[in-house]
Amino acid sequence: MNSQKKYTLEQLNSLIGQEIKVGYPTRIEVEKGAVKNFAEAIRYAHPLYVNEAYARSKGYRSVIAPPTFAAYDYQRGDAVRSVPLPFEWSGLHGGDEWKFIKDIQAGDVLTPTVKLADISLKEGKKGQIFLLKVEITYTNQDNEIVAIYRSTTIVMPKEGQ
Amino acid sequence: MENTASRMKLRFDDIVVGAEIPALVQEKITTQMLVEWAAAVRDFFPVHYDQNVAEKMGFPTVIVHGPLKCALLARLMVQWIGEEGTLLELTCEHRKSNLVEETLICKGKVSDKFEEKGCGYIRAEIWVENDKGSKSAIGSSLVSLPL
Repeated sequence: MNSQKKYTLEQLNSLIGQEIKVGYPTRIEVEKGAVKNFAEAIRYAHPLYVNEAYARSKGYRSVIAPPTFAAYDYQRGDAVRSVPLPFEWSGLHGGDEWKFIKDIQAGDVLTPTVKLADISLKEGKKGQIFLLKVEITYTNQDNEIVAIYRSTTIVMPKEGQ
Repeated sequence: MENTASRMKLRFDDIVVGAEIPALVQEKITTQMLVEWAAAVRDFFPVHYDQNVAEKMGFPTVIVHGPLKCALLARLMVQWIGEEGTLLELTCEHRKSNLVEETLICKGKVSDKFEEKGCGYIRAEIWVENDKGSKSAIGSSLVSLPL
């Protein structure tokens, strides 16, 4: 254990704020069926989410997506795994933070932009723990930001490196 | 259900700091629900549906996705504020894993209310607990309601 290599925050701070290219997907086409699946998965098939005529009667173009839907088809793990950390690691999902700015409607095309928002370091009993906050900004086809999602991953460097 | 909810429209003036948010979201988490969530968000990490993988990772059964708990907390807020309200912010820190077959209850408490530019804002502490009262996810939320 004592021979375990130690990392400092200074080695990682230069990564903060950098855009992360995850390779996939660069566009999220918001489909009615996907919205319905999401609404059913959270056991809340509100007519705004599943009934287009109802949503139109409320002034929307189509059904709207339940909150946190933007993460659809966006594998959070892939985003954090694309951060170029100088060690192998295993991780746990630590938390979610959302800002909901504008309704997402079926037919919207969202573009996620990913960056590393923050890294902090904790010296735990079992070794070092890094908290990585990856921020995904979702922009729609009208260039409006609709949601900002920050996901925290608890990153533990693997031993014996 | 929706008709009842709309008849009992939440009014900003009636909200009291310190009051509990009704526990509108109570779900017994089944494997089917985990699979539906996995498909809905395309998160195919097998610890959430494959017993062998869960056991290898040290869990007695498959575990609930953290973001599903976050989405259930978001559902609590939108269900509580109704169509006239707007969910603005939500945070959720994952403290413990939940196992399949647990009943998860989303709860909340109003921590602040204020008016700004003709709109009413409410802050709430929110959390997920199981039917034994063990809290597994803790967060906060900001919503608005017309005055």
